[in-house]
Amino acid sequence: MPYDKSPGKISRRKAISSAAAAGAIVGVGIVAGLGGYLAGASTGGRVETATVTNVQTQTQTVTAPQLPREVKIGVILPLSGELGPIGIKMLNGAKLAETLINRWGGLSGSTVTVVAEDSLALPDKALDAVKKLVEVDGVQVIAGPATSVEVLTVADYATSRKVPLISMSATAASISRIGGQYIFRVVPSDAVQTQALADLIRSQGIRRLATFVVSNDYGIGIEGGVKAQLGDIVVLSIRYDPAKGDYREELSRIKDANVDAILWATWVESGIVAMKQASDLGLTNIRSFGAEGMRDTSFFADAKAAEYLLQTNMMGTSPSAPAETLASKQFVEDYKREFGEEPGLFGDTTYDATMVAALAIARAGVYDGAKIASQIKPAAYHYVGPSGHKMMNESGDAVLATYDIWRVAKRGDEYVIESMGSWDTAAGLKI
Amino acid sequence: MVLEPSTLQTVTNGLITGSIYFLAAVGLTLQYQLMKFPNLSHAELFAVGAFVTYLLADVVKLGFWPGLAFSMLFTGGVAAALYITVFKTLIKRGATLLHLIIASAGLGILLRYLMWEIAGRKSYFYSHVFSPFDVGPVRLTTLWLAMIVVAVASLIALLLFLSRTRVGKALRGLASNPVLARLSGVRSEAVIVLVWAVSGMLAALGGTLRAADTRIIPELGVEVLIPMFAVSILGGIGSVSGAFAAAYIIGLSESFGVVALSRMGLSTEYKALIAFAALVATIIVLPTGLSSLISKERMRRD
Repeated sequence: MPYDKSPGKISRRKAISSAAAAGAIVGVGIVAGLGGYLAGASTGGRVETATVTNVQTQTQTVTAPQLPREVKIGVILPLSGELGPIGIKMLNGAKLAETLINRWGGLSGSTVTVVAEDSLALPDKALDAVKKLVEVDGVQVIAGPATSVEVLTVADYATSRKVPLISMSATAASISRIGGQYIFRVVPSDAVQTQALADLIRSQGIRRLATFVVSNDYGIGIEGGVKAQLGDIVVLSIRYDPAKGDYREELSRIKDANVDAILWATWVESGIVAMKQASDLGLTNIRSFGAEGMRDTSFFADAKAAEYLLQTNMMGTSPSAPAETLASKQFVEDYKREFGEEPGLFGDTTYDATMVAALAIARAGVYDGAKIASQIKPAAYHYVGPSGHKMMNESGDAVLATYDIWRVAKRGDEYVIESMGSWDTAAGLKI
Repeated sequence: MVLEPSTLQTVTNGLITGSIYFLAAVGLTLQYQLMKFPNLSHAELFAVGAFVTYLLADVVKLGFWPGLAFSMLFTGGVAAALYITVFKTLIKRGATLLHLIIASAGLGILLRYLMWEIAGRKSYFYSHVFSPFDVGPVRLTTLWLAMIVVAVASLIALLLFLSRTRVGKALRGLASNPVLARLSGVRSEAVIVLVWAVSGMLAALGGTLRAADTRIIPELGVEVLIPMFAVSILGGIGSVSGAFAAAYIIGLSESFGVVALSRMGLSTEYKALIAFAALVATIIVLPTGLSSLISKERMRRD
């Protein structure tokens, strides 16, 4: 039998359990002490001495609210997992904002510290990360999470704890319904991007289109938006499960439907699998279009997928200011200096989300989530960053929508993504 | 279903899917025959095999097929070693069925996190290129063809091994009546170690082919865990030819599920639902799985 009931074993087990109990008591003591320290640190008092004209000196204690010495900005990004390669580069955007603010003297003398948590782009992990930031680190404003599903999952908790979230890349249209008070984003809703995508697809003379999207808020949002814009041009819509790894039959359906083009809204790993299989199935004499998630050189990791994107002349939209603004030039320059490489996808918006959070803290003058939240829209109104002017509407979405029109190309032996035009709310499509 | 040229492609797609499910499930089913417990860590060997092939094929640069052959030997060794170090020890110390199942689940998690630790959370790809070609209206690649051929060849090899060789007969004896088999002089330990090694080899084979079709990641095995058990149960746990039939039933149901769902204008992400409906229906009609139809190979389950 596996259970040995000899007296020696029992006494050892007892010894272990009492040791564990002692450990737990010590642990609780440490946590309690830390809690006390944090509580003490957040209520800053100030003693002021004022001289009044009547030759008498009065000493009064003014408990004016002020910022703690160290102001934390939480950042939630997928630092590992399927979106890990993108998330790690995005975090550099937040780190750049932190470095620059502190180099410029901080927020009225307080230093800014970015506290990053890994969400793996999984909603439950994102919720754990928000809870950890709020309850353990005492963070009062968070840049992130990155994906729409995560934002929708953590929104209730953040709202109930009055901690504002500023997402740098969640673009699902459904976020507008809950946004504006504690949920914000520095990117416009997909509802706007799908207009740009639809204009691009129409401009290329596409008559029959199939959509191939990941089955989550991001993919379904793109699918719904494009269908609303293009109507009958969309002849087949496929939603896929990213863990399935086998899309031959779905792609055979697309081949069977005789389409001119596929609109892709996939994640990187599962997208590569689908493109390899599309290439093998001979689905090559058509065109490819993509939403912003497709603008990623990680798709070139597999030679067949890279060649497929080139063969089908992949074009797409991604939220961005055109590369040629002063702010974006400066950002790229600063980024290269700090990290020795070009910024990646959403590096600029992560920088902007962190900057808007910092400016809102400065405007609030106190490190308190509710007060910071009330200052996010005013801060954003006065902020122009590398991804453009961040003015927000009543739903907390960035109003100015500028999209880069990009395509996959090959220079020498290397696959690249190059910009080929732009689309914005005012001017429409320019190629 | 109207017979159209595209139906042949749908059948082919189903056969490709089914072949991978068979290679995943057959090792599990062989182990179950002898051990009488479902080894949940078996799926992880799928990924172990794929990574070892990558190491040999693309890092050591042996090429894909030689790399795969050595990877099968290595992964077979890993499986045998896991049996000797973990499960044999547990059984010797009187572990019950529940202990063994939990231990195998824990071992699976350990293996997966070990792979994450070594490989990192990114995907790898074999550099070997498989070229596509057309057979009439059906599009195939050398890889897809290899999947089907390998699955059928594995079935034939296993059936011959079980029915024609002394070890195979000893294995069947050991599975149906361990006490009698031991009294007749069957070296039970040697047979069990061999079966684990063979399951490991088949997992490396299936895992590498699946990885070549998709990508190499530590979750490769977890992705096929559910279909793997579905195939084992549908086939009648412990039956090799039952698993073969069941794998193609599930694979084809998924393919035709996509066709049916897209005709009805429903989301194709529910294709697994169709396959599992087929599973449930079969189990209701044949509670012991398909193997009860295949009487020759029928096993006494105790």
